[in-house]
Amino acid sequence: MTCYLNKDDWHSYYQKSLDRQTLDEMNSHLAQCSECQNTLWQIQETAKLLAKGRINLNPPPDLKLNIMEAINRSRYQADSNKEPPQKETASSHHFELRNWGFSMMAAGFLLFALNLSSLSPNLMTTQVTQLDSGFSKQIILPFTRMNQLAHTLLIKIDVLTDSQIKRNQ
Amino acid sequence: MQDNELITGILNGNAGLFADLVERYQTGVYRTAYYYTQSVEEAQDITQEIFLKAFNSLPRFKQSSAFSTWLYRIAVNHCLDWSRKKKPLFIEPASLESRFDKSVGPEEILLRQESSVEIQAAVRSLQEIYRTVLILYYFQDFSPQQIADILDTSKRTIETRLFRARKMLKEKLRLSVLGGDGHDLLSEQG
Ligand SMILES: [Zn+2]
Repeated sequence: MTCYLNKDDWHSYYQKSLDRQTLDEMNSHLAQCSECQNTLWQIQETAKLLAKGRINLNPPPDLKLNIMEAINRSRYQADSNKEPPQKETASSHHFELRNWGFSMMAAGFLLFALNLSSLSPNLMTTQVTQLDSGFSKQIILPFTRMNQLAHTLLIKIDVLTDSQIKRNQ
Repeated sequence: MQDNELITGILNGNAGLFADLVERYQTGVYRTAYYYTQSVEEAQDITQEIFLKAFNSLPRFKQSSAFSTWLYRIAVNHCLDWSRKKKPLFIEPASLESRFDKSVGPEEILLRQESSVEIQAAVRSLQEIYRTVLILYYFQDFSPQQIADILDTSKRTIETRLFRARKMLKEKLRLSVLGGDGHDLLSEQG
């Protein structure tokens, strides 16, 4: 009879995370080997003791939402870092900007808007896959708002571009 | 959807699918972070950082291995980094008791037992490699093979570490309950 002491499988055996055949072999070995019985007993005792240290803590309900928001922030930052840095974009000063500055800003807005509208397919999938989730509304809401904002911006850009063309004529 | 299907979708631009992966693994990652930090606030922050890191590293994930293994590798490394940077605050058992008295969350009731706090503290006081195998095996129910994959080492190494960790824990807790009579396995394993 082979002793399994040096086979390094007893922690796996205790969790039954071995194939059926190995488990059966170890079972029959265990019945005859007091050393292996002792090894298994030690693992059992450790498990019993550490079971007292286990916690049933659940993550806060808004954790997933926070994670997804952090991801979207990081994606937006990564995207905007690729563009040239831009100053404030207060709408009341739009018409005072010189042509160059205006074009840059319009391009920035356009990229921003395109970036946001690319989120809408995600929105649909999230909605479909998580219809039964209580948090789906919470997740969708910011996307919806961002989408609305994107559309508003597109309309503004249209208006501004029109007036810019008129000014140039 | 399977993990790999979700990942393919995410890598094809559907970032919203990552929410499904978060839903699937957030409890495990959050609890792991808690075992390392002993703080619900820190666990929350660290969990968020882990998932953000996973999202940003996703293009480098080789789908030949399980996503969970890869995610937990990021998680364990992140928790260990945190432990190295920040010395855990020592909390007197008395003040700990009063802290839990104020808490109303039903999930924290289990923590009221002093033995639970003692055991967690003993585990946390061990060296990184032993702390990690105990947390993953006894608290998170990973198999030695899974732990070996997460830590990128052999299953044999994990078994050895588990036996050594048990011995160290026994010294920390000085509890006779862990004493195996006569035969000491560790002396034979070298
Ligand atoms: Zn044996």
